Amino acid sequence: MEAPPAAPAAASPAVPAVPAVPVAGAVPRSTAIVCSDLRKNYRDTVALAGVDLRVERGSVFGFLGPNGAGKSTLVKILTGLVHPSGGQAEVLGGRPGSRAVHRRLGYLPEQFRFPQWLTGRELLRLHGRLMGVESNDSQLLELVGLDAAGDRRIGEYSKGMQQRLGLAQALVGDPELVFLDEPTSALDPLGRRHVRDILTHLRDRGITVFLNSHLLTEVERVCDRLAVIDRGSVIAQGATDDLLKGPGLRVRVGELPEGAFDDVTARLPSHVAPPTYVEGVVTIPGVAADEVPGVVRTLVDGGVPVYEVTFARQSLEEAFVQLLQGRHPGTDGEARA
Amino acid sequence: MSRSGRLQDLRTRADQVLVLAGLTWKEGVRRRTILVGFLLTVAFVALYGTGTYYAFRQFDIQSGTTSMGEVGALGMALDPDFYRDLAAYQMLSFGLFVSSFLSAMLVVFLGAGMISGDAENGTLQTIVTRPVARVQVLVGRFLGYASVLVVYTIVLSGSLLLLTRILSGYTPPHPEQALLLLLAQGLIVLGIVALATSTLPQIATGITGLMLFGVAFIGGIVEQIGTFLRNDTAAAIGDAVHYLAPTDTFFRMALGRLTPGSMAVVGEFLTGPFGAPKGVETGALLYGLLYLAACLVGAALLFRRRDL
Repeated sequence: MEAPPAAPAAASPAVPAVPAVPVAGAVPRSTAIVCSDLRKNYRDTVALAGVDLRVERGSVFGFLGPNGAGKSTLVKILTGLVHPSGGQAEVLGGRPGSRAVHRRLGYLPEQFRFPQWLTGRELLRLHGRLMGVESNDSQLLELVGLDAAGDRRIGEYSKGMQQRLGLAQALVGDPELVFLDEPTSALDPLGRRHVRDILTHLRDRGITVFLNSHLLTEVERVCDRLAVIDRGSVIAQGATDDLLKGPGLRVRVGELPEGAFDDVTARLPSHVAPPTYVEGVVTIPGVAADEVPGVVRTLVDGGVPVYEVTFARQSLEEAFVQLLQGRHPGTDGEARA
Repeated sequence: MSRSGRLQDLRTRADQVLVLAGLTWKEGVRRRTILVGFLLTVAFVALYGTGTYYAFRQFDIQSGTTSMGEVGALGMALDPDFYRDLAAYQMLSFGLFVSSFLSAMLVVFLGAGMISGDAENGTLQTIVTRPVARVQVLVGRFLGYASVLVVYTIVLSGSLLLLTRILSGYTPPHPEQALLLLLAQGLIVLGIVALATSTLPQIATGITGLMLFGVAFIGGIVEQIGTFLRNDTAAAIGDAVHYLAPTDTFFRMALGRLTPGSMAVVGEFLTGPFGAPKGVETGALLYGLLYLAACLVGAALLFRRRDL
């Protein structure tokens, strides 16, 4: 089919080809997604209990939460698959589910299945036709590492290959905004790294990515902004760096001599927060990188037997567990089944 | 939007519908369902042809003898052509009942997944998030199955009509109209399936399609018996059932197009498990078309509201 002449201009995002993250200088950092008091009830269960959310254009936005917290429901509302019970949502300045918005969207559902009797390339062409654009199937197949398998039937693909094809499918028609719902759940570590690289590539091109995931290491590495949802409500959102406490020093120590802990505490730089001692680990938050050797020397001089020193900011996993622990007593932050 | 822009938009929308409709055929070819269906159909037609061939050869050999049974002999003696036509019509009504049943089954089994099946397994979610209106997806899928139905019905029922004509020499008065009515019957079944699949799970859709087809058939029999025994209640019940699902009405109107005028006298005696012929009524035709349209409009509305 011939591509309608008007479509490519509308579909390709107005993003400079320069691989630079902050597009802010050229394009005003406008908003890709806004939700206010978004609610969804399924019969007796509340899936979303008034979600307020804002996603800036050009960001890789991580959306986290325990299973059943409402992550997929929100994505389905934003892609027009599910009708909200109340509240407002705006995607790329339009109504979720409208054709004008869909023309600029890509979506990889959590549970998806492609016709097993099509080849990978045919699937991408089908989606290109539905988008009304000339399909760049070869490019996309190469991007996700399926160029050799593009002409094989999807039925012969492994789960990981299908997921990568799903990712390619979500990128058909140069979308401005891509929703990825657990895009790495079926992938092995190598495949995950590959997807991470693709996400970085998308971010560099200024494409907004909305990433649903419970693989926290992954989210921590690629997402610049985060929101955490639990039981249908957003309980935290902001820049990744702001949400994670850090950096800090974690020191595994031996048995502390009498009075050594207080002694050392008194000799630490004044701006450093008071250290804590829990089960053989002394944690000292608020230490800057160039202060590490000095602090370690203070510990050693104070008679503290030091076995191991880690300098790192709080991991997302720690932050996540901390956030959820109070809300789900006795479950380590995992939602109860 | 400018006029050329609107035209362009219309063309894009039509293209999207055609792509989706074409998928049905592609799937049929790739998964060999068309091949298997074709081979089984050939087997059925061959069987029917063999039966018809021997029936009418016997007919020629034994015409006028008492070995055909007394009624047969009497009929033959009175009017050999009439008797041949009657026998040919009976063969045809039996064959077409099976073929229309097969068409309906095909439509129910294929169409039950049209919306709900694809929604349940996650195929639909990536399609409807493209710049396609849901009604386009519905129309595309409907057209795909409708075209399969049309080809299947023409090949199968057309073969039966042709074979009967060649082997028995009986020429029904309006075979092409009968074919159209059979097509309409299949499309009504597909309409019911489209409505059900837009809101019910796949299995429930299949059951609904089968049950309504069956209920309409039984309703037809109740009505026949009522008419035959001059029992108004039974006739009224049968008639009411036809409003619920007018499939049987269309089948019987198709049979009516195959009955020669000379058979009007014995019309009532043609009552049988395969349905009694019925004259074409404008009201029934109109009702059927409205019924189909209502199914499709309802399907579009339900599908639009559905959470996927």
